[in-house]
Amino acid sequence: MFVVKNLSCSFNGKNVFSNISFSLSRGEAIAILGPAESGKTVLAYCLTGIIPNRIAAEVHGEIVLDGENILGKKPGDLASKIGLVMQNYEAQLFGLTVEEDVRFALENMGLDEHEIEGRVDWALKSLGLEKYRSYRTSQLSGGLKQRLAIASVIAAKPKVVILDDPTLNLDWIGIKSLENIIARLKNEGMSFVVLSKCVDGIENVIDKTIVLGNNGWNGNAIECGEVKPHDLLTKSKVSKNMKEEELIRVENVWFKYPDTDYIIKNISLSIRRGDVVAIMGSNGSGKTTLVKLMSGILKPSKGRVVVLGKDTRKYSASDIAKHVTVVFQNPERYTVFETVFDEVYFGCRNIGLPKEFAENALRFTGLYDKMFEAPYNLSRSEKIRLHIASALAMNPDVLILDEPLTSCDLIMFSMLKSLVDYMYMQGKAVVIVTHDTNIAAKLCNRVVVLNNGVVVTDSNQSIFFNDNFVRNTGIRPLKIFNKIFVGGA
Amino acid sequence: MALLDPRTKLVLFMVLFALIFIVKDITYLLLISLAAFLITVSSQSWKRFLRLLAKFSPLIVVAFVIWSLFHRMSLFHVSYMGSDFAIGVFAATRLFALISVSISFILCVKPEDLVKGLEYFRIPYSIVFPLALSLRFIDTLSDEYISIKEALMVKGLELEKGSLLKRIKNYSYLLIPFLIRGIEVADNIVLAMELKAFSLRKQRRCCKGKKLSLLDIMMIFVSIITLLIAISHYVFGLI
Repeated sequence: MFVVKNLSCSFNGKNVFSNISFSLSRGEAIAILGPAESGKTVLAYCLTGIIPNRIAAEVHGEIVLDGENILGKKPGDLASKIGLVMQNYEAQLFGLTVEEDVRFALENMGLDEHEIEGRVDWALKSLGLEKYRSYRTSQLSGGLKQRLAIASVIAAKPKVVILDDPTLNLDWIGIKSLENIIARLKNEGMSFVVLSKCVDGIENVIDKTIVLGNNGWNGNAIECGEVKPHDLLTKSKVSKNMKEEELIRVENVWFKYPDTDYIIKNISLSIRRGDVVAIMGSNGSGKTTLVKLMSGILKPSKGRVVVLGKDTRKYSASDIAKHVTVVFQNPERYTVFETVFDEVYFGCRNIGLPKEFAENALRFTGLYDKMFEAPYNLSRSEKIRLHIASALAMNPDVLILDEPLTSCDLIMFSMLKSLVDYMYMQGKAVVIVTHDTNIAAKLCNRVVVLNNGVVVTDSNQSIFFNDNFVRNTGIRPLKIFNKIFVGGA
Repeated sequence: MALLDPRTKLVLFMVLFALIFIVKDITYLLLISLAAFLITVSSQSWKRFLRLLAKFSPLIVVAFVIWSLFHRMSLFHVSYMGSDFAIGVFAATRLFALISVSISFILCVKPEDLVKGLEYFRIPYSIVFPLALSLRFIDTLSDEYISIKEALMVKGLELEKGSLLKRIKNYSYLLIPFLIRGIEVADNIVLAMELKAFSLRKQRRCCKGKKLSLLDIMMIFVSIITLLIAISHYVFGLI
């Protein structure tokens, strides 16, 4: 039904991928796996006509749907044949309400009102969104927004649905829910192309898999190793006296935004020297809010957070930044300066540290040779390293990394491991917010699990081998063979 | 209010806004403000109405003082100095009514009602769609702004303390990432619109308004009659 033959794409003579071929029958799903910047999104754009119609590129090969070569056709003409759920699916939501959003494409296609109503009902029901019909799209959680993006795409009844990195920001429960959705829609005859770094959690609905390397078929998938109990971080190089010192104390903290319920409910915990803490929990459990409280960005509604003796209610976030820095998810969004060095030096300058700190941080992250390059010219992985360097340059006592491995490759992983080791040896602390149990098991020596704003577990990472714990908290189970891809840096 | 059709809501508020500028009696202006308050009561948002009104109260006091004392002053000449508190009270009351109706409009007419109402009135889609899109992406851009601000604060950028000039300078650091994110978001939107077969040139199925209920018809009728009476009285002096 859907055949891709020898598809190649290049920008200004620079090859993105070449000679990709695969075929898909009705109701089948294929996973195309590859590291960051291997060309997954470019492939999605080629299949949907964005390339070469909206973005100029040289594309060769054939994309055949039901016997017709659709390569080069306009995206609007393909909307009823091939649908794309973008990686940044929020940009795809146009409607002010859920119903309006699903109607949008159907109205654009000029369908009659009766047909539109029927399709909207079917799409919302298929994705379990009936009760959210009149909700504003901005009121939905991340997982629900993704479901809505899928509903809006399938309402056009395409034969093939392309999902670009659909599990990227989903927790384990969200991933399993996505798996159910794909299974249901496959039964209705829809075919899926899933572009991702891995298919953890949705492997049961994938019928075939191909690997997209940096240059076509020959992707370099490597095993990063199985996680066994003796792998766990059990260091003892931090002296006992030092270990006792509290860097951050969270005391009976409650937090709510105006006009909302409490997001953080009576949390108490301490971060001590030598702690490498994984903060885990499902989407919306309060992980990011907790780290914002620890870094002084948010002030507690009740209770207090004390950072090295400073009550965060009395100090600005900039004051607390001398002790605690945060690298947020997708840090490349926050680039300000024209050169890598200026970007890294910015934090040092604000808190009065000399240039040497910035230079050392650049050396540590392997970006020293690129210090005069423009940050926007760096690869995604390098951009993330740049922002880790910015944080490291500020010589923090506590470094907080919020989902640092959303675009994980082996270089990133090794760098993070060295970073964690370095901080640990210096008697500092690292807090890592993550959904990835394997990362938490390999990098951390303590696990804090949040559920609905409450700490449900504060333990060492051997807890991951407790099946009951994993089942009850809904976190991703440890994967024996966790694939991390080489390249992309 | 929730029972009303978006068209009725728009007509109702258009009439209220028009009345504020037509009516010249303080009593009627207060009645308009009362109507705005009752509308928010019916939408169960009267607490927010009062909170917002309280925030604007200094503005009303300033209007009273300025109009009472300086109503005869011009930028170009001073012809006569002297106070006239009646004018001050009238100007302050009119401002009070304007603020009340505006708050009520914001609280009671959801963005989706506004857009639907305009669509039902057959306002061209090329005008309604950009409005809907900008309303939809206010939240997204506001979230972007907050996250950029927070990311820079943890890099030690002081945005809460220091002199006004220093803070303005520090806020300028937010500008570049915000602009770039804005462009990226816009770029993604354009691609997503193409994927959803959007084209302003193509014929598109527009939402047809549902049949108006008896309540809607009555509300529209009463609103328009009130407006006609006000115009006849204050503009043409007929009644």
